[in-house]
Amino acid sequence: MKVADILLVEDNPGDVLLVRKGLERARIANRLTVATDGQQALDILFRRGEHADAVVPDLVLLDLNLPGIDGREVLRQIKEHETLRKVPVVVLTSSDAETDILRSYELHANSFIRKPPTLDALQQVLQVLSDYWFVIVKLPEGE
Amino acid sequence: MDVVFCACPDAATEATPASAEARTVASVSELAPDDRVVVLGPAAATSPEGRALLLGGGLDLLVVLGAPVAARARVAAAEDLVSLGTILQEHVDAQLDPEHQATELERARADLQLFAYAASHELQEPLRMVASYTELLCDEFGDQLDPQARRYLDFAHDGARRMQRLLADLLTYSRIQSRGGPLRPVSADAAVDGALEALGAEVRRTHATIARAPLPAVLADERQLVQLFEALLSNAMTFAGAAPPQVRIDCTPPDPAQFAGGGVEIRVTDGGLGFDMRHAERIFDVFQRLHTRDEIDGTGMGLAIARRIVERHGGRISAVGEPGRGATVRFTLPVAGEGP
Repeated sequence: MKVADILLVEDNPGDVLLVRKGLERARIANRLTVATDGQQALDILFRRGEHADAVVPDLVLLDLNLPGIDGREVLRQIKEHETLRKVPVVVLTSSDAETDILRSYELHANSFIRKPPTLDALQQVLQVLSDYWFVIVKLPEGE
Repeated sequence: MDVVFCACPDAATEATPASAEARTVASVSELAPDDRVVVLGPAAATSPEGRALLLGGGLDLLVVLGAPVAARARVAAAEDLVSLGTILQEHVDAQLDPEHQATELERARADLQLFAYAASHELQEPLRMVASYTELLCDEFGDQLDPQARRYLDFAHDGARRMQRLLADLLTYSRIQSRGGPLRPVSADAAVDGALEALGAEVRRTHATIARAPLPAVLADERQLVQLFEALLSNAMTFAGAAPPQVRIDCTPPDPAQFAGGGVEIRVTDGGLGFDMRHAERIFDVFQRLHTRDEIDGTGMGLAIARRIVERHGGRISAVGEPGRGATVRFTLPVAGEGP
């Protein structure tokens, strides 16, 4: 398995560290890029400004509630873009509101996952995500 | 029930509305215990008793006491009192109307549910951080801590995990009404299968034996029916005592003396710790526990969830038990084809 490029869009530093720890504990070889708001996420994905050299991630972990441009808008722009739309986007949020779940899938999120209650549970979720998206699933090569 | 005017002297007589069975009292001390509606004029309001009765404090207020909604308005003159008295009487009549009371009760329940949902949902977020980071602290720095500090940390982590379980159960409870699905004919046997699948780890761990008689198709919300059996089976296994749990599920037509309205009565019987019949009602209340946490580690929500689900289906639930000799929880559900 190659080193996975993961873009984590998350404004809470506590959650960022938990995802880092979870990936580490699940022994997932990764390069993690963190965007702490929606604008930064879009700049990275669309390689704007200082992010001109950013790589297209293998997976996006997307929080919904973000300052400024929120996760739903980021999701919409990714899935409306001709090439970026192929990137799997997993919504990882504390919300379990039916409207958020529905809206996310309407915007073509690949999965909707509620942030697990413990680090152990998060590690398991990341393990499953990694196995699924980086090993089991066949995705188009290149960009 | 009377509408009581405890008004300033010059307003008292005129203030009595003809339509109301109103009593005019000179002082607050004359109020009858069942008076729920009180109009206080400026004079009475300034008395110490009057002040005590005023919910918001201040003078010239019209206060409706004991009614679900406290209505207030300024009382400026006797004429206003008369018209307000009429409005009040209508309000009282409306409150006494069973249909209105049912709606009010329903609304109060819905409010409470919304509150329970919002509170438990919002509390989960900060708690997730506490649980995750105490876990991380234990894992990464546990061996650098002296035993006492490690013990403190373990208590903190256990506390956070326990509160997470309590909130999760409270959320489940509050969603039984708000997120219930439609009632359809479903196989109660399949629901038991589903519950046993969810409880697989617990069944294996406790070496439980579950004896099952065939159950009929019932009219139920499938997900909640699984939840119901899950709660009851988990309960039976939790309170098994030292020996491996022996649980039996069977059914019978309901005893008309106990449960009117037909359907089927399903029973979940265990040979476990049982309980004193003094607690037969209380065990269905939220967060009720008959054992200390050292003895049994539960949230005290299992049977409350079960009752709520059964009641949502129009059924009844009760339990019989004897200390040391097990317990039987029985509940009724509408049978598919008979209508709810």
